[in-house]
Amino acid sequence: MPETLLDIQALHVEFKTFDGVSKVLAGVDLRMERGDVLGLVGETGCGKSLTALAVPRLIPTPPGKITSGRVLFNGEDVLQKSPNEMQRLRAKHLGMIFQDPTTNLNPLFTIREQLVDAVLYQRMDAQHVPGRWKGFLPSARQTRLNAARRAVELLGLVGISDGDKRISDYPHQFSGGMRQRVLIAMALAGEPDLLIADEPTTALDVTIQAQILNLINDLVKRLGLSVLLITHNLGVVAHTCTRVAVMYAGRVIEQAPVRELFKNPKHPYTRGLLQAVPTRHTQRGDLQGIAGSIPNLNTPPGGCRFHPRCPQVMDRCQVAVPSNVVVGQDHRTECYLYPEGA
Amino acid sequence: MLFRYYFLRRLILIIPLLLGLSLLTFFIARVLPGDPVGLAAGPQATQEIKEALRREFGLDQPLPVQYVTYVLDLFRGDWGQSLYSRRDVSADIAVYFPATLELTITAIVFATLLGVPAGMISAIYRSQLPDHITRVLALFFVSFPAFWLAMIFQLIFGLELNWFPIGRRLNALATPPEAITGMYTLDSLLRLDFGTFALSLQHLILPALVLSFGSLASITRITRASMLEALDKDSVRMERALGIPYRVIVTKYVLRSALIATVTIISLEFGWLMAGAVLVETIFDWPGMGLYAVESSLRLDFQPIMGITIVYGIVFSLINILADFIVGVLDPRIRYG
Repeated sequence: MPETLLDIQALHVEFKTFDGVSKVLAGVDLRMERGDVLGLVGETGCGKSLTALAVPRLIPTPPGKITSGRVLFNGEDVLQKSPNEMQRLRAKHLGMIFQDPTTNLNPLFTIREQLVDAVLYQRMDAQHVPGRWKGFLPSARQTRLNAARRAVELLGLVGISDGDKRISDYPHQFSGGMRQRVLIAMALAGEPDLLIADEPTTALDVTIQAQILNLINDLVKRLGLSVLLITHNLGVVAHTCTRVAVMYAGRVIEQAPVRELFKNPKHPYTRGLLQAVPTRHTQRGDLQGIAGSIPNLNTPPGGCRFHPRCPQVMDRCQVAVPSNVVVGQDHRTECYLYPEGA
Repeated sequence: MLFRYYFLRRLILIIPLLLGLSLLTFFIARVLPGDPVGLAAGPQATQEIKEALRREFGLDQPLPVQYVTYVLDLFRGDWGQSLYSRRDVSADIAVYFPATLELTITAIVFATLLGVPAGMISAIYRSQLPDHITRVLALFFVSFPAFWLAMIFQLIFGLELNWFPIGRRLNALATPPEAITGMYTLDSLLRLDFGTFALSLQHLILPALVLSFGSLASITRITRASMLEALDKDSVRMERALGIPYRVIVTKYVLRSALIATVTIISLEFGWLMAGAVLVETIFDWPGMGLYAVESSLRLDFQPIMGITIVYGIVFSLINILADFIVGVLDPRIRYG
């Protein structure tokens, strides 16, 4: 029996904007087993990143607000935790990397300073980390020295072999791909149960993208890491993930193992997405998009949020949100095309 | 280019800067309408007396010759004499300048020590009560004229509560410490004369506090703004995601980014404080450069005016270089750039 690592249930998030309240997440359900590499795909603005940010509770509040739902991580609801418990959880059990490796490192500090802090706070309790003013004490220096040694090992782990030299450099002396490697090293310093990667390759060149994805694949194999990988690139999903969840306008509308989803997409939106990807055999003019555009989430369409664009829309789609139905081995979707309990 | 060569070059560049400054002030002081010699000699002076005075100060020479003589004398350490008091300008400055320096340094230390934490608190509790309180106070201090606040403080803390003396650098009965730097607090400390130190500190606090208020407000506001900007950076979210405590993120990572703008503002404020100290010096009867400058200007006494301008020029340049140096220490991209 695989162990459930992450179970997001009916998560609702709202954002206050100038034009009113935007219901950005409207009942997200998402499950991950330990060892999964789950790809979360969808168009810009569909709530992928927000879903990911909800796990370490990093949604900017205000303007954002989690209005209801549960986020069970290792069986505990993170939404019920105190700020201190949250900080410990982020340190010991969660790792997160983001899209732009340039802005996610602090330009004013050396890689050593930032990586050593990551190591210290992830491997020790915050109150035992020697403060900066105690830096001159021999015991504190020894602690930081040990952490620096561990930091060099981590750089080796992410493929920076001359880490003992590069560690004294500043972020601006690294290339984009190298910076993303450093960030991965920082995120992995505490041997997290789950690595959340929010579009980790979007800001990088294509060749570097492949290197970073191979690195993530490699870490999954070597460390048995579970990964929640957010992307809008289906190629990335096929390359890296074991399972995939498709989001549309604040809901997960289909989730399945990768091969199953690519071979046998059920939801009309997923089918549309897959048809919109060019292959080697696509002829000019054959590529089809999905008609219409994503809805304004301040005034979302009633019922299934995809119904205004759906080629197979039915009357009931406009009235009520379809519930989750099982359509195959570990394959579920939210659509009235499939009878419940089938 | 290496960081230290950069600063060596900046130091050497002060010399042409000062030459330009002296040239400008020299000619402005000379072409101003008015008769400094007549003022100095007094209303009863005869034409012969005035002529003699003119010859004595070299004013009968052509202007370019006067200027070259002045600059050459300057390099020899002769800053000229006051037309009015016949005292050496360098001797006067040696007395007045340390007094002003002591006052402004203390004021900028007050402003920094209060302003930076206030700005930090304001940014961390953005749009909450502590933020509103600091912002109202900052607006209050930046809006009230210093001379009015000075008198109110004299009334409350000097006359009513009797905590601080309301003027001068020391009691009439106390002897100032023998000069090393000319700053009473520092000199008495260096000479281990703690009684005089306490006394001079007591005299210093009230005027320095009043002088600091304007800068305190700007430093608070700039620190708040740059903290808010720094708090909003992606790297802060990353640091939070890593599980580094918020307290550490703010005091270590965010503060350093925020201080870059604050250091620049502090250096500018320091210059303004020196130039603007005259009001506070007048009200607190503090014998400093501000009073000296105003008195000399009123009498068109151009030798002191020149000397004061050059001293201010040197101070401004040094403060600027110091600020650039601190920013370079804080930001490696400038250091290696």
